[in-house]
Amino acid sequence: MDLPIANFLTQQRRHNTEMMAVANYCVGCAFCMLVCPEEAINVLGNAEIDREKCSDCKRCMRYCPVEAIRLVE
Amino acid sequence: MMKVAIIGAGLGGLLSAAILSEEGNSVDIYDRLPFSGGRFTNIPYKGFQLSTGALHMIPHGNRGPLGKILKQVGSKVEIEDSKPEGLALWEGELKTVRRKDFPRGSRNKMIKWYLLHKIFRRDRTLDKFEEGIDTFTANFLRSFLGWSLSITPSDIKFSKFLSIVKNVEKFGGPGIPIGGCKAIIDSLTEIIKSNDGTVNLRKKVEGIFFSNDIVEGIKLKEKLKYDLILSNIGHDLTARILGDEEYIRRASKLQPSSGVKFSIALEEPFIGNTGVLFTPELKRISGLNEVTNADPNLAPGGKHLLMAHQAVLTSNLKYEINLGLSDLKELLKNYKYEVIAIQSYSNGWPVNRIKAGNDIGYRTPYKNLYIVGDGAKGDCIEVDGIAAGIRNLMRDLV
Repeated sequence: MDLPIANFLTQQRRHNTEMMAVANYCVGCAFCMLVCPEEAINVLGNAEIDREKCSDCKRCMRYCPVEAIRLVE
Repeated sequence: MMKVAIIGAGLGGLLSAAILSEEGNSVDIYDRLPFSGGRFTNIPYKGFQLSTGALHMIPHGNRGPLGKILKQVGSKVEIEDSKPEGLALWEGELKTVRRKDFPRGSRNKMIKWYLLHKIFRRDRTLDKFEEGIDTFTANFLRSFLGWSLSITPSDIKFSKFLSIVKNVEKFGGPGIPIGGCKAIIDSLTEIIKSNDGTVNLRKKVEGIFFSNDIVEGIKLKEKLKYDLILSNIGHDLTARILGDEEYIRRASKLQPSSGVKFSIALEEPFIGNTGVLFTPELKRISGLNEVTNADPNLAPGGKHLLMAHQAVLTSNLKYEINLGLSDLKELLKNYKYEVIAIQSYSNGWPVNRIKAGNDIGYRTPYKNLYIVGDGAKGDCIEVDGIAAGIRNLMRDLV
C-alpha cells in the first residue's frame, strides 16, 4: 500500500513494539538472510535488517546459530 | 544397551547417532536450531540449494573415512567422485597438480624435508618451506591450505601437511554428494529414526549434570538421565554448559579458523567439471567448485552454482570480503554472474572450531562425555576429519 496513512500506521506500530536487532558478535553466516521471507536482511560480514521490510516473524532469530538476533524495545 | 544423549545435530552428532543406534543403543539428539545438519546442510535460496557451511564437497569422496562410515551404516547417499580431482589456474592455463607437475627444485626440497623429518624429527612450519621455492609451488601451497584448512603456511607444521598429502594419495580426491550436504543429513536422520532414535530440534541443552568425573544427564527444561553423552558443539561450549572452570580455561585457548564463502549464480558453466579449481594467482580466493556439474538440481532451470572459498587473513572482515569480490571480478570477467550470498564464518560459528594441527582429541575431563564433530577431528581434513574422529572414538568405546 502506498497510502501515506498506511505508512504512518506501520511506522507507529514499529515504534511502539519490539524490534529485531543484530548484536555485534554476528559472524555473518547469512542464515538469517537465506530464511527471511521478506528479503529484509542483507549480509556483508554482518547482518543488517531493513526495518521497513521486516514483518517481525522472528524466523531469523530462530535460525541464528550464535544467538546474535534479539528482540529489543 | 546404552542410553545416549547427543548435544548438537550437526554431521558429527548425526554420524555418531547413526553408528550407535545401528548397534542397538537408544539415542536422542538435541539441537537448539530449527534444522539439523549445522554447517553441513542446505538452505534453499532463490531456487539454489546453498550450503550452510561446507561447499557440498567431501574431501576424500567415497573412499575416505566419511564415505566408509556412510556405507557401514547403510546410507544410500550417492557421492560423485570428482574428475579431475583438482586443477590449478596459472598464467591463463589449467595445470594438473600431481607430484610430477611441480618443478624439480621444489620436489627435491619436499624429499629433503621428508628425510629430515623421518631421521631427525625436524618439524618446521611451512612458511620456511615456502622460502626460495618457485612461485607456482609456493602459491599453490597457499591456495591448497586456504581451500582445505583456511590457514596459511605459517599456521601448519610439516608433519601435519605430510599426513594430508598421504591421505590424498591413499583415499583419493574429493566427491560431491548428489543432493548436496543435506542428502547426507537426511540419509543419516532416516537411519537414526528407523532405529528408534530421536532428533529433537529447537531444544537447547542448558546444562550437563555430573557427579565427580561421571556425567549423569542433561538439563533442558527438565533433567534427563543418560549413560553416555556426546557433544557436537566443541570443547569450549561444552565446558561452558558444564560450568567447569578448569576445562573452560583449557578449551578457551583453542583458536578457530575463519573464512568466507561466496555462492555464485551463472548462466553458463565456468569450471565445467566436478573437481576443485585452485586459484593460486588470486589475492584471497583459494579455490572454487561448481557443484551443478555433478547435480544440476542444486540450481534452478539449467543455471550453475559456483562456490568460492577464501581464508580470512586480517582482522578487517569487510576488507577481506572486498578482496574476495575483486578476485571474482577478475576471474569471471568474461562471464555473466551474480554473487547470491556471501557467508562468513568465525569465532563461535567458524570454518573449523580448532585450527588444523591443534586438536586436543575427543576426551573431556569426564569419563562418559566425549566431543564429536568439528571440535574433535581425527587425522584427516574437513568432514573426513569429523568421520575419522568418530571412527577412533567408536573403537575406544567398545
